[in-house]
Amino acid sequence: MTDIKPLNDFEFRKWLHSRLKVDEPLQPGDPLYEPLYQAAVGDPVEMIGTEISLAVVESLNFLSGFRGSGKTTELFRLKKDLENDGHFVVYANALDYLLPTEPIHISDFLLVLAGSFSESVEASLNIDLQQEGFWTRFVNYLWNTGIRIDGLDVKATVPGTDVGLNFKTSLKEVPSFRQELRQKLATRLGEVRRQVHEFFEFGRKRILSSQPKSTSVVFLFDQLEQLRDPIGTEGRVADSVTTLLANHRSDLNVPLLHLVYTVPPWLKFKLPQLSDVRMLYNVKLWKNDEKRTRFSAGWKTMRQVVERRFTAQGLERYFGKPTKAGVFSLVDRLIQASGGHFRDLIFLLRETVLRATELPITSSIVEATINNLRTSYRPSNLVDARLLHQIALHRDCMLENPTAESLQRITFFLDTHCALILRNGEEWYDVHPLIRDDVEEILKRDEAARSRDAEPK
Amino acid sequence: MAAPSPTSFSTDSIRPLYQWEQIEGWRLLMQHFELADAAFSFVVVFAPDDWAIALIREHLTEVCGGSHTLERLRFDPAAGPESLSQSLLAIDAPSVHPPIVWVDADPCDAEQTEERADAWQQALTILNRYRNTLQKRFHGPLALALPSRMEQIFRAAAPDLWSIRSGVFRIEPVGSSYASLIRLPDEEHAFLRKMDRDDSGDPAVTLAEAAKLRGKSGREVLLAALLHRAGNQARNRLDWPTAKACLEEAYSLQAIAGADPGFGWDIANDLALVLFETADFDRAEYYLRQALQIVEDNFGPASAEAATGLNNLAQLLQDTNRLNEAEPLLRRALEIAEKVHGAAHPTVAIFLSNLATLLQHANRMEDAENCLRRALSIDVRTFGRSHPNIAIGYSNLGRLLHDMNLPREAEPLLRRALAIDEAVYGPGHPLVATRLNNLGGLLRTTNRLAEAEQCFWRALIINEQTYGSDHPAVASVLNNLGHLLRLTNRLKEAESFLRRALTILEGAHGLNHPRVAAVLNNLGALLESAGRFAEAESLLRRALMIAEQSFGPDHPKVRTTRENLKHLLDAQSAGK
Repeated sequence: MTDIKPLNDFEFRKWLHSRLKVDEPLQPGDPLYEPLYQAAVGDPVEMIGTEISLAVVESLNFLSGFRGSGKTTELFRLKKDLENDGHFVVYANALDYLLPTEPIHISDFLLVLAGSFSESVEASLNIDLQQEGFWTRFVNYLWNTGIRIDGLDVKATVPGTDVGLNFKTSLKEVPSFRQELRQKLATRLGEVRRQVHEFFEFGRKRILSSQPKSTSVVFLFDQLEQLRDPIGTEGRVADSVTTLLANHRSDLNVPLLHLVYTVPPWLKFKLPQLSDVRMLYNVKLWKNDEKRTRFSAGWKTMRQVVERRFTAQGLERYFGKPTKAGVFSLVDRLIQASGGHFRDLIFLLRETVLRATELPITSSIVEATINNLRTSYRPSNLVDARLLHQIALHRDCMLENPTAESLQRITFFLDTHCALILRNGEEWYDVHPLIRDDVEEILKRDEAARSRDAEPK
Repeated sequence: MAAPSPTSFSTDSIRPLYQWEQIEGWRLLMQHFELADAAFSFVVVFAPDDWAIALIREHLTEVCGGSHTLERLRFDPAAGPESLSQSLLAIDAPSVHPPIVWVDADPCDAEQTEERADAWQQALTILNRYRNTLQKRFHGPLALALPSRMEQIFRAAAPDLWSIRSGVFRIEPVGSSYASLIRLPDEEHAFLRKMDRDDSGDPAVTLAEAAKLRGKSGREVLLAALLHRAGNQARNRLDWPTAKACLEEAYSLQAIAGADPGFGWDIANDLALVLFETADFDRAEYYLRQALQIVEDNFGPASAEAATGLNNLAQLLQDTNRLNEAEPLLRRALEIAEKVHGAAHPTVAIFLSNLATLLQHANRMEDAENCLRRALSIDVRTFGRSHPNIAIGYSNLGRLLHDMNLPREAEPLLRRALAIDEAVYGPGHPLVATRLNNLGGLLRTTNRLAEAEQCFWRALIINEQTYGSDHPAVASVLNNLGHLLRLTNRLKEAESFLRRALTILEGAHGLNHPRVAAVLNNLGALLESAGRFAEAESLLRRALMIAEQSFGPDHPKVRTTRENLKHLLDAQSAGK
């Protein structure tokens, strides 16, 4: 629906509300899609595409970005681009197979990788692999090699049983099952690897035989970046992911396949040597200079994001007449408050739709919306405020010797957009503009409170 | 009045506080339900506590009527943290006209607040794993309603879930926000902000501005605001008469002008502080009771503001040795704070510390120790181990253990408090002087007099440099130093220090303040040591009179002074 004229104000707001969903990955060609990263020098998606095309036979690629940067949407774009170039692309969501707050072990990972590939191939080709599906194959392998796991004592080939599904569910949900499996496979990692690679080869051949026009197979393994430790824990998840990527890198590579993994942005602090991660940066609205000089290209991009959601006609109806230069000042105010964060901008726009009592909306609606979002960002303790102050001051996260706690905090800041990761030339960080003043205010208040609180309670 | 509990409370008790049409969060939530299409949307509702959430749910059910149905999913912590995810994923909501699925928990006892917060945290951590599944399975609105104190915990425990929120709605009763304490026109606010920027701290400047408003109709609230400001400026300069006059006039003006109740509350508290400093305890109590009445009437008897009011009143009663009256008030404040903020909130730690001081005065040392240790544990969890608040906790506990005659246990705590404050503020900060003063006291009683003297001297220098030579903080150290010098038989020096302390305190607080009595007691003991019995007797009798007036006949300080006087009289009799 793009013709908005017949709508009354309420219907118009309802229409806008439906176009401002905060967590809905967009498919290529969606009119709401704004190419945030294509305009940048070194579009990460294009670079991965080029890498795959040049590597021809097989390749290993990593894509990363903070929460809400649009990784999945960009992966969909990559999928489309690769398909246009003649590749067959299989997509899987790691969270369908892994719990994000549980440490991952190499044996689990290999099984999940092959299992998710198996299910995605079935879905993509619309076929049922039955006994040839990976889960069933692997249960049979366990049975044939005499490995018995508590709760999985039925051979998969027994008719009427769905032990493959049972295996997959137990692997994800039952810690004792996972633990027992790890222990029993610990000395058989080579065999597991062979099983997995054989299956990938089987799957690849199956794809290419049914898709003769395809030149190669690409597997996009999404959401691996969601693996993280809850704040206040010992960092076991981060350690396990780090071990996986540092010590088992060769296992992430599958012969004759192109693999793309989304990996956590905090990995760069733990594994600075992992230099081939393509990063989706925040849209830059200011430069990395002392005054944070306005960066016009970023503003243009964000204005286009808004225009796509509202349409040119809707912009005026909703925000009032633009200036002579064609600028909607209230849009710019919201863009500024978003800090260049795409999802925050959508969130802000959506909330103005809730708050609007008449159209066009007023600046008080915009300010109330911004204040409300600011509440969600405000640091809750002095430790956070001090760390954020340091980031704003040095434009760096300064984690030379990252502890589990500092890593969790930085991850938390990046995830919650309190801290933003940007790039021009080199990578830099800054504190979200919504809370920059608050951070300073908290520190000032603390200082004043210390001076005032001259007597013990 | 006891804090509400699930058996003694109902949502009717708080219903009058929720004037729905005036609550922005509520209006926005309604807008969301009206505008949202049939797709999945995830909203988070925050309200002060589970009672408020229950009320919101009841009201939502009433107003939704035919447009939406509400399907409540009760989170039961006793069923385990997994139960929330399991119940949610088991819901088979229709895709056509899906209900609003509303998740909340029943109210719990105040003692269970901390446990409840842990249960929510665990449940949310698990639910976070199922973000994708929830998005796929649900077709309509899913609302998760939590006490406001859970917001930070939610963000940390369930970041993925938080990231897909369609909206966050904070529904609080009207009038609980301090943002609009003084209802002033914009230009008057701007005027006050300008004064904030140009603030020289001089009450005369503020009073000159106030004078321009006198007699002008409709400017009473602004005039009250200026007098309030001038009163506090005078208070900071220890100019008690000016402070008292300004604050009393400000209080009357705001009451006549019908200003926002929070403003009246502020002034009443500030005025009570001034009256306390000038030993006008009855009037201080009057204003603290007024302040409490204001908050109970306007914010409710179970509000955070009421807890603060109770605490303030209890402090005064405690300082005037009415411990039996003070204790129930402090305990009530504590219960309210636990309910409103959660049992692990720093405000709870403050009330616990205050309760500990009271128990210490009542000689219930073990109870006091338990309170202080709990407060310390809350503060450590909140601020880490090197925060100045922890220094306060260590200092309080150290002083208590010292009083319990456990100097070995007390000393490391007092030293740790000193080290934290030295590291945080630098060695010349007045808080460091306070820590040195405390440590010096311990060293004195453990007979390490040279080291104690060093501590007192350092504290004295810091306080003189910070406040000038006539400040009560200086007098406090002079009193301790004088006492120590008496123990080392340097009586002349000791006398001059104690007399200087006496002059400062009489000047600051008047002739009949209990702090004056403490110095009189030490000075009397000193003069007795010097054999100047008649002078000593006069001072000790005066000290006893003030102490009895302030604390009643049974206070430990009164007993000490009485014993000193008896000792003197015995010595005199023996000498005759």
